[in-house]
Amino acid sequence: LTENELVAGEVRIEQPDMPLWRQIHPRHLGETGPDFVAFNPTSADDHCLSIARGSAVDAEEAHRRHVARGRLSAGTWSVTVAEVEQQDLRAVDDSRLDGRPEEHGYIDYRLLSTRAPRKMAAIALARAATARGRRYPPAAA
Amino acid sequence: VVEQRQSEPEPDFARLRFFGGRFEDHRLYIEVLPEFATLYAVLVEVAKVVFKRRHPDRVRVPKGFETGFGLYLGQPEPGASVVAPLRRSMPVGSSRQLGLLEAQDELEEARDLTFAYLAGGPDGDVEGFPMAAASTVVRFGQTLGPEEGIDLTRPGGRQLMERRGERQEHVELVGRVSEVDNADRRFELTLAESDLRLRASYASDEDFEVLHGAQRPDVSRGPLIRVEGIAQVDARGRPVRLLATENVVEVGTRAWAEQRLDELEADEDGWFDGAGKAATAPALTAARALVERLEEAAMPYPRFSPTTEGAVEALWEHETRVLNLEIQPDGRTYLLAFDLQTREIFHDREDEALEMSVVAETWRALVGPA
Repeated sequence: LTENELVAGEVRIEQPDMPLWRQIHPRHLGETGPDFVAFNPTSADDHCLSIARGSAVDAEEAHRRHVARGRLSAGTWSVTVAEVEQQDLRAVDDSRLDGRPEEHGYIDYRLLSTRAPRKMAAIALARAATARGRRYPPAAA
Repeated sequence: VVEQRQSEPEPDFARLRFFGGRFEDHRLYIEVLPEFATLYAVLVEVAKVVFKRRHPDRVRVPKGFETGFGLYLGQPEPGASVVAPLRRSMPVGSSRQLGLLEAQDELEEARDLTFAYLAGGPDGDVEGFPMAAASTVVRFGQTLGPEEGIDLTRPGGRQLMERRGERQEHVELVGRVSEVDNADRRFELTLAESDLRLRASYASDEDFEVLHGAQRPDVSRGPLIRVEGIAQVDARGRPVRLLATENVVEVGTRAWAEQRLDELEADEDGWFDGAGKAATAPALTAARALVERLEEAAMPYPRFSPTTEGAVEALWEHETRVLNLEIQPDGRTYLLAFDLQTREIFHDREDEALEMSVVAETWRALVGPA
């Protein structure tokens, strides 16, 4: 895919330091941080990994909105746009599309054509998120 | 426990007043009845310990001790809240009941110790209260909502404690063991995430073995321990007090890996927010076969994780080297080995079934000889 193949209304996120919030399902939370599976979209997801954009909401609000939709989350973790691009992926703002929450975006794994590099990217992003630690709720009481 | 008796009520053994929330309409709802069963279970457990302390020459408690206290629930009294008197039918006549007469004092002491412990909270030290009962007593009050409470009084009208509903959750905590007290059956866990120290009682001798084995002079060098249990949590869901432990396991051990697979096996379709296929039988069978053979292959146990497609992922990490075995829903495997920093891929292959020798050889090539 190329930049032109984003659908109308989708915009590539350019700010390298922008946090991309990812909610981690309790089943995908390991002893030290998120499992890489939580960063590895499937073909059912069309290889697009949902995130909430740090420009739209903070980590707490991202968590609140996620669980308000009836979904489970062990908390909010994050990667940055720069970390995504280091894996030859891109972050996309698709919030203007019909039915998308205003904070929605995705990490586009379609740029990687085979299973090996996709998994390598997911493992790298899970490591980056783990190193940064849970963003909400903060660890210290 | 719940029984209606004669018209002349016997003296109260204790009075439980349920107040706030649902109890404002004067009804004792069925869902709070477990509170009585919990309280009774604790009283019996504590009374047995008290009996043995008073009778060091007796190996066992009297026959019928556990069921013969004759404790029953009197007629709830009307009022602004719900008052439920607990009464005792006094044993008379039979030799069996004569044996129980001596247990009545133990029951009263058990009541006083339990109420005092509840009043002080799980961290309160109440002399004489057996810590073995702590994991049961913390369940008292679990049916209460945040605006509800129970206060307990004994004859004479002296209020002994008030138990308000707390937000309690089933939690999985990860940390290192900073203290184990075998005499008191307690331990302290320093959370890996926050360095918060939580004290709790452990439930079994098996738990003690795990905790004791994981204790190090330098806490930070100890292995990670995963503790499942009930915790009091703050408004953000963070644990502030560990109330009861249900399972203790050292991370990275075979028991840890097998428990993880047990969890995945217990999942049902829809486990992922209504979507997500449960791990399939072929995938789980292959994962268990892998665990079976890892020690022989001199390999560590991996972290297992479910996918929403019914596969099981196994991941080993050694610095920048990564080995990933994807066990697909039909039991076929995909093995990937690479260096995260250089992005060099050493192995990238799909097989019809688990090839343990290939997994082991790839691992050795990845990290060097064991």
